[in-house]
Amino acid sequence: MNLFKNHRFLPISLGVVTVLAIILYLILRPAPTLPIITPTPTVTPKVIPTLGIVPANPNQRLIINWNNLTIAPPDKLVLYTIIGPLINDQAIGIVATALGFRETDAKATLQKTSQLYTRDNRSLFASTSQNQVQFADSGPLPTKVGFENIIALEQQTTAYLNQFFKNTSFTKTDNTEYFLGRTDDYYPQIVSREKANLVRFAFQQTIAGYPLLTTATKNAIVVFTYDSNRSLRSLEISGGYGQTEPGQTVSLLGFDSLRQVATRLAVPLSLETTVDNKSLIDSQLIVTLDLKSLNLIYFAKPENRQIVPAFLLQGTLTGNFPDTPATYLVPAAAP
Amino acid sequence: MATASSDFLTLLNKKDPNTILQLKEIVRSGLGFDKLSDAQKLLLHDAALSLNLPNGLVLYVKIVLDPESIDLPPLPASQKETNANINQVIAANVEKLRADLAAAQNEVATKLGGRSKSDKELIYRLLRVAAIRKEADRLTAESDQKARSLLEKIAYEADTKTQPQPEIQKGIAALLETAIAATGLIYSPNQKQEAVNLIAAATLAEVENLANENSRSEVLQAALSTHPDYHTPTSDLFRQIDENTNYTPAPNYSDTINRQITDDLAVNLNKITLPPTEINPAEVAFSVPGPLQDRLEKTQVLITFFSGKIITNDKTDLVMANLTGAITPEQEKEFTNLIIAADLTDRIAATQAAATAATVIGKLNPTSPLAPVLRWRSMGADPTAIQKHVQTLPGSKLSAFVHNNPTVLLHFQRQTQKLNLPTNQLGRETTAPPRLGPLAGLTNGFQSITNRLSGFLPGQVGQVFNAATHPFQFIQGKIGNFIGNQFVDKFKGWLVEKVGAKIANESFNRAAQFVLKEGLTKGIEKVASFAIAKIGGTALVAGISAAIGISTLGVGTVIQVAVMAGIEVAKFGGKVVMGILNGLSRAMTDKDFDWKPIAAAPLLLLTGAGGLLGSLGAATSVAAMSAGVALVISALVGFFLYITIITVAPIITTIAQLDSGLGPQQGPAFGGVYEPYTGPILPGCSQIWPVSGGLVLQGPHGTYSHLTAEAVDIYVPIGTPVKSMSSGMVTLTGWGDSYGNWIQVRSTSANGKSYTVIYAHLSEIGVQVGNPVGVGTVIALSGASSSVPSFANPHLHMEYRGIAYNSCPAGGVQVPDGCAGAVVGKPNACLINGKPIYTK
Repeated sequence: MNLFKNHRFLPISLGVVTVLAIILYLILRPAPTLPIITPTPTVTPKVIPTLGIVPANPNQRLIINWNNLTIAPPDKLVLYTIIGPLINDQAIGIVATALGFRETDAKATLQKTSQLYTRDNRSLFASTSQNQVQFADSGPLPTKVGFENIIALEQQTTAYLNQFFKNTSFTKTDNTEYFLGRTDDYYPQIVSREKANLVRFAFQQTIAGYPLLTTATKNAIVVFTYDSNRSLRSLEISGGYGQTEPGQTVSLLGFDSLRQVATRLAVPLSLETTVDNKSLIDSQLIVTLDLKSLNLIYFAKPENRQIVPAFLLQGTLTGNFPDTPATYLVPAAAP
Repeated sequence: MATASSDFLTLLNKKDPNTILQLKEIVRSGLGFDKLSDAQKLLLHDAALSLNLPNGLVLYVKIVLDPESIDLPPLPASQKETNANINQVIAANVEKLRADLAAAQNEVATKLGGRSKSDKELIYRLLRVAAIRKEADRLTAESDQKARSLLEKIAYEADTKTQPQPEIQKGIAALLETAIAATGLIYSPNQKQEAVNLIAAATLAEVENLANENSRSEVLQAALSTHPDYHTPTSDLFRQIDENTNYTPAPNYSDTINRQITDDLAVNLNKITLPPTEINPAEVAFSVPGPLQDRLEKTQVLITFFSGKIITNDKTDLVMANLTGAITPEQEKEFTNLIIAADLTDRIAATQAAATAATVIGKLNPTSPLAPVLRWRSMGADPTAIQKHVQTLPGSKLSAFVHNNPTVLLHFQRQTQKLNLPTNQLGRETTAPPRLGPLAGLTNGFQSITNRLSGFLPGQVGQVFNAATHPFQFIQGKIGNFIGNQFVDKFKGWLVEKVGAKIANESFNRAAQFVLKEGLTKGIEKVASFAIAKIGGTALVAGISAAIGISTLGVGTVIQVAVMAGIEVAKFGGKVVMGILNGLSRAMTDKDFDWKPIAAAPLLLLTGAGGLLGSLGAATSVAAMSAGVALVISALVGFFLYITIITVAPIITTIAQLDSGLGPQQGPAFGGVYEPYTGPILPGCSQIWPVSGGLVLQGPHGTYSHLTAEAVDIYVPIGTPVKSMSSGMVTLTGWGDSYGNWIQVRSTSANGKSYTVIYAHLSEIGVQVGNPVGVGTVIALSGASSSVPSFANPHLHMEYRGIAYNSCPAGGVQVPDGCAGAVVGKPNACLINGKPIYTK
């Protein structure tokens, strides 16, 4: 077929040839010479301290009802590094001895940084890498209820703390809790002091005048639980420091900046709830925090060594689940 | 003074000579009692007890005001004068409080308006009671126990008598004795009487100040929680107060709101920029293909935007409850009686939202599905308290009822949380799961037995057994796979993009206008008809829809849409199918086929194919034996799926949510469908247990603490190695609140579905985020860690998110759904063939 014999195809054919020529030119032309760029010295970006908390459901979005709460943080705060975690080999040895465990009670663990002792219903787990101690006595609970002499137990607790951690001070928190537990219960119930057979004391550490929070029971560093016979039923130590070292000074977010970033950066620190409800809460895509208090604190995960300032948002979490007391953290260091 | 000091010193010396030195340090430090260290406070307490003083505070005051008693120099005269002035300061403050009391009483009188005198008196009295109790609670362990006990007693008695004032004064006098001891101030008898009067007035003033709604709720809650006997009259009165002070107008769609909604819907839907977060389709309520997922996301954002603006619509609640089968009147009545009989110790006060909703009950719509919940709330009942009751008293009638009717408690929980939301969102939908069909129990029993048997059979044998005992699911699966392999890639995109989007766009504006104008029920019918007319009854659509394997875990509105759409399908093109099924149904039950359960089939199908048989009853079990009928049902169900999920559901869900003031229809994103899984163990599951030598204490949806969790608890000594149940990657380690130390492992099932396995209450965590793990890899040691005290009960909590536990159970052993406890003979215990389940 000779297309050029037909006048109608001539312009079309010429057009096609032109387009092909342009394409060929574009493909085959030499690459333009790029200007030489002199590298400039790299500025080390300022490292913004992170909290290291990963939410269970990263897709969950938080809405905050601020309720006219406000805060006036200082312009700057110092970061700290834990150079001596609270739980070290020496402390573990003292705790184990004080709680009546012997070397023959030791059991195998997964890592060299952990130790496990068990005897009868009592067990002690401690880990320097997790910076944690967990002691539990799962023997039968006394039927006797009521704590008449709570002072004696407080003294006993102070004695334990002095024995475990010399030269380290703790502050007892206000939230002493009383429980009624029965041996066949899954979870003890919170009751009044008169009806309780278990009492739980929590202790915090402070740094630079601010409380040090961590991921643990009640966000406290040390938590003791005694039964009504004054026997220690559980000891939970998580996080905390023996020695710290000050680091760089960081600028803090102001309140307005906090409001802007909080929804995006807030991470849940703790929810006072059950397994069941936490599962339900984790499944939500949108939750709302009805803010009750706003404070500046220092935070360090047990296994982390960096102590960083953070805003503590406490309130009630609402959504498609029963209302739940909750605490959220927002990193306080300005970017 | 010298003699007293000597005596005091003698007594202290007997206790501990070193104590005196430390006491001197305390006085010299000049710190207030609250600033002292714990050790110093303990020292004071200890010394005080040995001196027969009430507490350390009293001793502190004594030695600070009377330093001579421990041989320190006396206070300067100016300090003594300051102490003397304290009386005047107290008097001034009390005068102010008196004025506040008068103002508060005036406010109460105004708010109560025309209430009867007896009503007013009762409210005043209850407030006084709450005031005293609150004051008593304020007295800490450092206070005089006798005074505290006396106040409790007075508070109780005051509520039963009309003139509690003298007794209150007695209590205040006792309090004052403590105060005198604590402050060291000297009072004459007249001064003391005056102080009693003033403090009594101040106490009452503090809590009778009703200007603050929160404090009002708080004091009432305090009163009710201590004495549940008062709950009924108080709750009712409380509601009446709120009704007068916070009246919410009846639901009313104003033209302005209608216009705003429709305009914004039409204009803004495509303008919304989604947040950058990428949502895993497997982890959201709807798992719809790309473009519609995007539309759904946008819709959810829009709904969030609107949720604060839309007024309640109780009609939609009623429709929803009817269609989804919330609870029956019989269940409601029995539950109400059991709550009363249970004498729950953790009753709460009626919420403000419940108070407002009382308006809806009494005046607008007595048949609202909110009615029972509000009634229970007004009784002071709380779902958490009931759950605790079930945990602690598994043998009670209430516990047995909750076990046998789990949807009732679930309904209560969900409606309660809605009630706790701001009042303008009141009246949201119930998302209780649907009831199963009348013969579902029989079918489920059959399936449960065969499922357990199949769990013991290895690989191929198990599959053959499943095919024999679950022919419907087996055939459906094969058909789905075949059609899917043949057509899905070619037609899925076309269906969604062309057909779905076109219909959705056309439907949307029409439906939005119509539903908002005519109401939800008619709107759904209308839109379903419209969508069906557009789609046509193509058999290919049915097969492809099933083969696509669209999954949704959403309930609530989607079910409703499925119901309506299903009915429309039946009207449109299902006459032949209906005839077949009616024939079968008549042969079995002498009744025509009930379309309502079959319309709910998509959800049940998706929650486990076995659920479909359950929903259809024994008639369909027979039908399922026939491959031909199974094909018909499969096509019909597939058709429902297509209509419900691909095209209609996103649109209708949006409209329905807007219509009823719903928030986003979330559903249990991680796979907790709250319904028993009655299907077989899926192929490809590992057969190992995560821990050896344990005892299964609780199953999925167990009443102790797994009501919404696809989880098991295995009692095992602390320090037992925990093995991974699946291969995958560690995605989270650390502290998980009530889970204690936990590990999350992300895995993929044999059919490509992504899911998460959680191991909780651990002691040692042996892996890090990002570590790959294989089946049997030891990842942790078991423990008893938790923010909720569980030290008396060390166990491993293993939970699935994304799949049902019994679809891939540990050890290849399906644990009875809802079981809790392992004691033989106890109802609802976790037993198989009457024996506890031990892990190997």
